[in-house]
Amino acid sequence: MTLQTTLYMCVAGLINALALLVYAPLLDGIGRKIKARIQRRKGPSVMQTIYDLRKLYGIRAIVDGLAGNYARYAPALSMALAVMAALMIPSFLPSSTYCDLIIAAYLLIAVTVAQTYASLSMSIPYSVIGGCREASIMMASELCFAGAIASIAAAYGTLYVWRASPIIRLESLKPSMIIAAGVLSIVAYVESMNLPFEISEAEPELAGGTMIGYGGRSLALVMHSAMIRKALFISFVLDLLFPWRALGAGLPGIALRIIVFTVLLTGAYVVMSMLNAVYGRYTPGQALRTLKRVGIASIAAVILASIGY
Amino acid sequence: MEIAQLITYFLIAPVPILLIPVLLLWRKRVLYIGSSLLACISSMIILVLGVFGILVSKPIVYVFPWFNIQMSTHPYWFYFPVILGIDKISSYFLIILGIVSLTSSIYMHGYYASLKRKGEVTRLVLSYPLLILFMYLVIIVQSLFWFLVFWEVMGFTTQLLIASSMKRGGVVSAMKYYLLTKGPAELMIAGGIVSIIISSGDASYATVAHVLKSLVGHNLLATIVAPGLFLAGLMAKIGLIPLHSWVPEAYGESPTMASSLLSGAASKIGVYMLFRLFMYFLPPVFVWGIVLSVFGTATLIYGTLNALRQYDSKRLLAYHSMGQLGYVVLAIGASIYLASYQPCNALLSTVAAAAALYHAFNHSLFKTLLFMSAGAAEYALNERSLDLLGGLGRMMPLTSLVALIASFSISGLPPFNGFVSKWMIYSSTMPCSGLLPVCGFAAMFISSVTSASFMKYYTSVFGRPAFRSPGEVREPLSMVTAMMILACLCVLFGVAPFIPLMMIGHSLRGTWLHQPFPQGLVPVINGVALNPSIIIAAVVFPLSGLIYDVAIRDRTRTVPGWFCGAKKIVARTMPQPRHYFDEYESVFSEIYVIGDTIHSGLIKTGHFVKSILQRKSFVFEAPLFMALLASLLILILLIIGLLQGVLPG
Repeated sequence: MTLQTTLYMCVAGLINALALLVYAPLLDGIGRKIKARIQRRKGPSVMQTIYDLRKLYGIRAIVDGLAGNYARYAPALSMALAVMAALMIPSFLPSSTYCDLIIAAYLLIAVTVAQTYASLSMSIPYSVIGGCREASIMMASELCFAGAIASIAAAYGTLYVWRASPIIRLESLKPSMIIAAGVLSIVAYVESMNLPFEISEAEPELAGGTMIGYGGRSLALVMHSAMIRKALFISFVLDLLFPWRALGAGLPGIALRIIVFTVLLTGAYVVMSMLNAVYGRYTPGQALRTLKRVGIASIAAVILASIGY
Repeated sequence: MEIAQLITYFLIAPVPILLIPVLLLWRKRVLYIGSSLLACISSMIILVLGVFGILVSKPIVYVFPWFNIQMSTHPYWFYFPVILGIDKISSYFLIILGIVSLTSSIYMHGYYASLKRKGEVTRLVLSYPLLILFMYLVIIVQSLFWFLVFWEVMGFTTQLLIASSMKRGGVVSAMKYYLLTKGPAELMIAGGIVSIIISSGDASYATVAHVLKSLVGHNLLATIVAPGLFLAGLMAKIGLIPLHSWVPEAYGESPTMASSLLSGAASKIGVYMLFRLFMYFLPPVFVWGIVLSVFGTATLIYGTLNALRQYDSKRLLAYHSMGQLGYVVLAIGASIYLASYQPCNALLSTVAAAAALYHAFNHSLFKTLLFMSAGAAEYALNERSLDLLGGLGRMMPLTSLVALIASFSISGLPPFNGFVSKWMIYSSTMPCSGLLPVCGFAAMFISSVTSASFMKYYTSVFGRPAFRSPGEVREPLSMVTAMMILACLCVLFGVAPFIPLMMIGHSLRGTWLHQPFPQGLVPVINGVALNPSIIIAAVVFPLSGLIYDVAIRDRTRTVPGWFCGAKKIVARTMPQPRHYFDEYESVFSEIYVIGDTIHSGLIKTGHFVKSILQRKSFVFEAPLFMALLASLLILILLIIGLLQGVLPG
């Protein structure tokens, strides 16, 4: 790899990270607005999430007094991991040739893991319940995610995103990849904390969830990193599903790709928010059972891919 | 080789260890310091020998001119000279043994204080150094016959160490260990070794490696019978299913140092022989690639899913030990499978073999560390149940930190060491066809279960608040020192993978791998050289520190939590760790069915053990029973050998 390529990757990664730091809260605001409009409410402004974060960043960090030392450090760690994921995983610009499917998956999971450790370390029962549910959903969705990744790797003989993308190719249509595309879409939806799978906040009577032990700047960091992760997860799946990276060439091509990516990402948020608005919350059992079925489909995809279909 | 060189290379390490029992004549204080110090010196020598073995270009071999067992006048049949040697692969495992025994020996000094039972220290002082000594001998011996002899004695010392507490659980688990590993398993290893010697006509590793390669494919004994018997015996020692039942109980009931030594080093002796058997002695055989991949995958699924259900800290770690060794065996199987079935994937085969060695090393580091952290918790609260532990993060901040590092490492989170080796395992299994993508998928899914399990472990012991006040408890300095060394190595091997990979590159030289391993580099896969962990470390550690420093430290306000209406935190308002994943276990109950069937078999085995223990005549029956079985087995092998025309005459 030349010095020029390395420099390009660093700059592209930084641009991606900075763009997501701003755009992820905005996307959250758009989602909240759409959800409110579908539910015939006026809803907050699309900038509301940014205002909320700005306000929270201005307040000193608040944390559960009885929680372990790790809980204090966790918001900083999860933000650092989210920024790292944004640097490595291609989003607006194809930032890093270092990033393969495994690294991307682990970086995305690492943010959740860092936060769940913290929520299980709190002295508040609802935080612990939320943490347990978050971990259960993580295990179940990882069954599906690992299946999708393994089938893509087996089908195309590579773990690199840009070589496997797009996974559905009309010239060589593979049943395993159609299943994998469906599984990836569902996993992206589940991992984006959308209803009916957003069970970490518990039942309606149990307000709270994984972030209940935090306030002020700590809460802002945890929320912000979760939003970045959500946007990255969706962009990662979009990267695998759509051949938008092949558009154009040179500087106009880059501009075109950024625009197309922004439209795709926003479109995905809009669709997810619409679904989010019409579904009720699953019980943990229902959510896990649904994911188990998707997991079985992903196992089928792996088997099909490993025998050449 | 001169006598002086023999002493320098091979005999100097055991001397300090052998002096340890003499210290029993002195006062406790001298015994504690002296035994720890002498064990540390021996471990250091073992470590230096391992590093030296990696650095020198040729193997160091010494054939004893005495102690030759010559049972026949036949020129080579029963001529078994003691051959000691350090080659690349044994050096690699000597380094593992050296690090684990060094840290365990440092830890031992602080741990003595928690041994309250009469005679427990004496039994520990007698069995612990012996186990290190025989593990060392098993690694450096270069003759299958003497391997078997030292292996037997090592198993005996392991049994003594497991039972050293003389608690009922410890004695029963030691008996289970005896029944599974010293009984049928070692019989099978003996059968395997006898078959190999019959096939190759010699016991020395060099001859066996040379002759077996030419026999495989033409000779049933050399291709299937000998490796099959050997593998079955090693499976019991490593703890692969279905011969794993001793693992959770032995690791759970042993003193912490013993658990860490058994999980960190003794299990790797089995991996060492497995690696030597399939990567040095035999050429790549497709069937063995499949067998190892399937058993490795089944073990990692079974071990880890069962670990998720545990609420005893040491049993949880024991089940994870099984699971992680499943990864190692899967990687060895993948390497053989790729080399025999898909020769075009020669590089992936090399990566899989390197991943096996890397993960074996990593497992030694983080599992020893985790057992030590569980031991520190037991030391502080005299409790192992996760439901009753808690609050140790505040009392033992350093132990809490190292336990967090180990938990992240075993979960495979970047940039810790577990991530790199797991990433190599996925990279070598997923982009293939046939069986391996399914195995790679299972391994990746199970990694998330490992993460969830260690969320439970870490937060229950160190993260969440205490429900009872144990007073001011501090772990001894020696315990912290040992754990800090291992934690530093977990981080170092994660951010600088070229260090272990350089050693692995040397260790793979004598194998049948066609593609040389790129030393000092992370493997080049599909034309792209990657070292992501160092990049991740370079960003995540400083950035998280900076964010913490600027936004959180000194500016944090702590507020009391809400305890469901109670005035202070009480255990009954908090979910118990044993119920954390009840919903998950109930929904995914199907994947527990096989495990539960085996578990019910285990309970039956337990009753069987109990009934045997209650019979005093067992002491006399067991050797007779084994001798009968051994005779039968040898007879069968001789018949097979005669039928194949291997035996002269």
